[in-house]
Amino acid sequence: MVITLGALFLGMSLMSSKDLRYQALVNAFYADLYRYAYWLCQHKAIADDLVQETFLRAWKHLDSLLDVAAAKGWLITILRRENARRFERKQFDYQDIEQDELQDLSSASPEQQVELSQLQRLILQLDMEYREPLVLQVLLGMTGEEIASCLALNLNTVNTRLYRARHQLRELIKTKDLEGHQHG
Amino acid sequence: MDELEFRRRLFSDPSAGDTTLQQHIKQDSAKAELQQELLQLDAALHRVMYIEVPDDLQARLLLQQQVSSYRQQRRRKQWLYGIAASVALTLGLVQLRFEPLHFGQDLGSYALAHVYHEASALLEHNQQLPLAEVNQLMASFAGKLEQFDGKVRYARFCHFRGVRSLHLILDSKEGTVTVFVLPKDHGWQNAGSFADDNFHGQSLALAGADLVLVAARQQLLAPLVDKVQQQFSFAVKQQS
Repeated sequence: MVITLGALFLGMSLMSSKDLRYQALVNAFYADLYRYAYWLCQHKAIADDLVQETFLRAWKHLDSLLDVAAAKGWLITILRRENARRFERKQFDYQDIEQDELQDLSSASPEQQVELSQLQRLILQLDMEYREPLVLQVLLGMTGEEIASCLALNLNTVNTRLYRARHQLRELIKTKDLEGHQHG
Repeated sequence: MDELEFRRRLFSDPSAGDTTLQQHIKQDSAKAELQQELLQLDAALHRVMYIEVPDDLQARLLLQQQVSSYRQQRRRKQWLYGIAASVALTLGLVQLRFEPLHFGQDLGSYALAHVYHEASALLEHNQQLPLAEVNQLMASFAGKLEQFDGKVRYARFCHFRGVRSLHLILDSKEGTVTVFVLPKDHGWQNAGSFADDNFHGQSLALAGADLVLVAARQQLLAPLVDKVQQQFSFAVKQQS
């Protein structure tokens, strides 16, 4: 108790405006970034690590973030760069890493759970170039223009990729349904 | 707008309030149905993409910054003292000369700070993690835990001021121990033995990695050190 209070007091007394800005960034975006990182790398521990690396870098370069409205895009750009560095490091043999079991479907009925977990697998079947803009749009609520700026693509390309992502997903769902009927 | 263009626009953003698109939808029930289907797909996608976030991630991100902010201030103060008094300056220079990167027993105190922070994890994370899962994380240190005579109940990367380390909590008949795995090139001074009122610990330089062990004061550290030394293995990096 004493230690917790001490740590709290220490934290409060040392808080600068940079600290407060950082904390506001963490509070506002950590969950979005974690989910985005997961759909990027498909592994929870690595997603966790990517978010830590991202905020570490964000803290170091916080002064370069001048426009608060651009914060989400800025953090996503850092995270994408960290993810790319991860492949450069090649410390892991990623082939050996199995995907985590996905959860969080507990509120659905058992039948729905099967359908939803199938949908999760189908998302992971999409190529990264289609999956990534789809996650940014559906999960993070970003506009076409914001996605284009994050991914350094033009708006037409982003729209084409979003079109293909949904188109492919529908096709995959139809194939699955067909298989289901044949087996059932 | 032809059929193809309509589909292209609708599929790229089913919820878009594009007025031309809306007019087409109003005039054609098949198109309205397609929009509904895509909106339902989006709702389902959002639901399954919205995965659970680790409970303590937010707190860990805040701790990471508080520690580095605290260190920055501490360094700034040392500069002020150094300028104010020549004796302090001399001492400061001597200290900098011998410890160019870090001050004092930082690895130990940093490890303790992490242990305090993760104190709740000691109680909350009580499940046994599969060894394969632990080894996925160990792989980034070229390390392996062939078998562990006990329970690994927490394994997560954490950062020692920019150095990525692996934080493990192990249970065995010798007691509970927190182990931090650091790469050899971490740049910290090894802590040796360190302690505070509640915990004591020791750093351990293996050939392929450095470890820092922390346990409660009432526990004997030596058997835990032996056990960890026996059961952890790290590949030694080849000098190129």
